[in-house]
Amino acid sequence: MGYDVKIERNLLHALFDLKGSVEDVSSYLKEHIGSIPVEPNSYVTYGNLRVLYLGINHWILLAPIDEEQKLLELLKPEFCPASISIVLISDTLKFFRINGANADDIMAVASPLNLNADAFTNNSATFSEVFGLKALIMRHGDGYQFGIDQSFGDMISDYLDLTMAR
Amino acid sequence: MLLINCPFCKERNETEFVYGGPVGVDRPDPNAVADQEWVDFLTLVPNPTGPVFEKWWHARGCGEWFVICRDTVTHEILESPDEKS
Repeated sequence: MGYDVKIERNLLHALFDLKGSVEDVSSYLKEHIGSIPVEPNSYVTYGNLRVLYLGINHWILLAPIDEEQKLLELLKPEFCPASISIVLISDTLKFFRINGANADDIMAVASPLNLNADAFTNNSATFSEVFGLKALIMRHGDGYQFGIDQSFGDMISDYLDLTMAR
Repeated sequence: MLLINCPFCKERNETEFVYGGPVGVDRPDPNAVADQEWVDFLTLVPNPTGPVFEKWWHARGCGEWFVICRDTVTHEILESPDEKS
């Protein structure tokens, strides 16, 4: 009996790394996108954009890869205030989506993070571990999405196959 | 396995963290001390019995550095940093 999951592999997203004080980043993003999330390790959604609050003075803006150019023109990283930093990092992470009835079981093997619904809610996003690697984990539909250093994409794909005993 | 309370992410598995050494160890001037003393500073980690304040780095999480007080006998974490946001 196998796991009832659907896995999408090696996906790319448009990613912008934002650093600066809460006041400065909030003010700049509010002007161009919307309010930033307040709760640590959570995200807010604007259409198909997500703003993730991942560390003290650290956010990531995540969007479909085909919106990368549009966001570059909108955010203008080279002209943003000197007090904040906006860096395009789309090519640093590859994402995997695990959906289905047994998505929790696969993630329980892959990550030590407490993924119970009361600890990792629908709008949670955080850096943690997947198969021992630093990973950006968030909920996606009835399952999860996680991003890992792009150079480990094929390795993680193999690990997922092993986990599912393929 | 330790569960360490990160000031940003709250309770997380020990494997997400990197030990950063004890707090308050004075760094000697490498030009003013003997080679052996400098090598000892770099390689010998003090490991006293009982409560010790030590630095930890949430390397596979939010990236925050913080200080906890841990009992080296029981591994009980006696003091954690306050939550920050």
